[in-house]
Amino acid sequence: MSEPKQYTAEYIIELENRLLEAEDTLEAIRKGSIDALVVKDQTAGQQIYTLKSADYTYRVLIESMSQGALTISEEGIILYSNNQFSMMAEESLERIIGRKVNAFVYDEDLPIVVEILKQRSANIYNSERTVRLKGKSNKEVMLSARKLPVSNDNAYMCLVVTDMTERRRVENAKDEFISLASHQLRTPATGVKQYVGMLLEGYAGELTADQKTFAQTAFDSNERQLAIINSILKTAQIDFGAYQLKISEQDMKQLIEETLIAFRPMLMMRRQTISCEFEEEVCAMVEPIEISLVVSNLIENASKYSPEGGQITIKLKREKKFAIVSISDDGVGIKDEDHAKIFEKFTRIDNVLSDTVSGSGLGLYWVKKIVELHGGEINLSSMLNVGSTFTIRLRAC
Amino acid sequence: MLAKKVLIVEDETILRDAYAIVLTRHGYNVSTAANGLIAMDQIERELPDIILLDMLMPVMSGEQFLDESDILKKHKSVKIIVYSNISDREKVEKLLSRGVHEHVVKSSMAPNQLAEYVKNALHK
Repeated sequence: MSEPKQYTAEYIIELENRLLEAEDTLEAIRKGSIDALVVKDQTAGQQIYTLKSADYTYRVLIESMSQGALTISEEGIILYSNNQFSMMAEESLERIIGRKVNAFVYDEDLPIVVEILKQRSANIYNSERTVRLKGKSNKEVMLSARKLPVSNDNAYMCLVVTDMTERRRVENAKDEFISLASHQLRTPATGVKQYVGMLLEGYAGELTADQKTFAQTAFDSNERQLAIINSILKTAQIDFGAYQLKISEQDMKQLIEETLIAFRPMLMMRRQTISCEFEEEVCAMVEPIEISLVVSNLIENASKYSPEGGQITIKLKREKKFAIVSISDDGVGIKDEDHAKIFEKFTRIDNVLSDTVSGSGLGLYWVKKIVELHGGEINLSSMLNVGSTFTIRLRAC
Repeated sequence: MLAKKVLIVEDETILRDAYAIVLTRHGYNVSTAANGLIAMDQIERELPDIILLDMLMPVMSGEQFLDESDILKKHKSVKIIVYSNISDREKVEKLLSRGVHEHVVKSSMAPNQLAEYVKNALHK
């Protein structure tokens, strides 16, 4: 047994200092800024104590999430997985941790995972992409990736994995409801069209000038309603995946010129001019009716959102394997933050003309879907108060 | 000359009545049926010159009527205009290839246009 220490003034100061140090350490542990403690012991040497309690509450949270949560290394190796992901992937945790995240994703969707992993050079990367997981249920999941700040040269990434099954079910039920409701709305609207039409066409005798104006206004308003119902139904059809294209070789110059004919009166009324810069013999693999509607939609928007006397420019060219159509206007333009939103369903962007110009908020959603069904893409470049250019790239033949 | 006979097959009363009013005014002899089954009975009793046929109907749809009655083969002289809101092009093309005279989208047709379609079909 060692001699009892003499409580000298020096010893008391030393004890006070050790007490302060211990208090600081405790405070740091409470704050969660300490992961482990190294304790030097004369008999047992150096011992490391991991502080599970520091992140215990967070672990409980992560384990009780309805989403899967993964921490992955730069190479895509899973360092941590919660139980929820193990259930989604239909694999035990032991068979998940240490394997590459790629092993759990359908081969066809691997490029998406590679893309997510590649983006790690950015400081913080936030993305949401949908992939399918391997396993019996072949689950569709959304991966939300977030890169963590680099520590000790190690770059980690957190992946939150959301099961889309329930979300898809709700979306399908919603689409089905919209489709059914639209069918039901179309019949009475068609009835209004017939009877107001009969009034206007004199089936109930001559109308006075006022009666004619009122009936015509009702007729036009009903026509707008029918157009909206029809575009909702068309969109629903695409969303159901029940849309089959009949693609054939088309001369794009001829297709656009034929589409333009219908717009001459509208453009004349608005004193807008249209200039065409078409390359000859640009052929694309498209469904002519649908692509004509896509072009119509874009020209109509260009006209609606441009002032009277404005200028619309349509260009057609071939660039490598693509037929490229661009439609530009010198209209109100679209704010940067609205560029992505504009192709979403039921979206109408606020601008100086949005109160006077009618629309269902479905046109550009539909346009994008149709272009994508063709394997093409659509882009927008626009500046507020300067104008917009929509560019479509389609597969050339 | 005897008025041409038109049979309107449509389940929606308001539309059936509207089409009947328009075509009667244009001098046609109009009869109506609320579904394919009633239409089957009508054509047994009196064969029309032209049938305006809706597609989606309860009891017996337009398509079932064409199958069951076999009218396109049995009575080639009878013109058939299918008018519906179906936008399924493949279905429409199939109908036209079977011998249906025309397909008209119901919600896009104004009253006088209906009369025009009937007139054109009968003159061909």
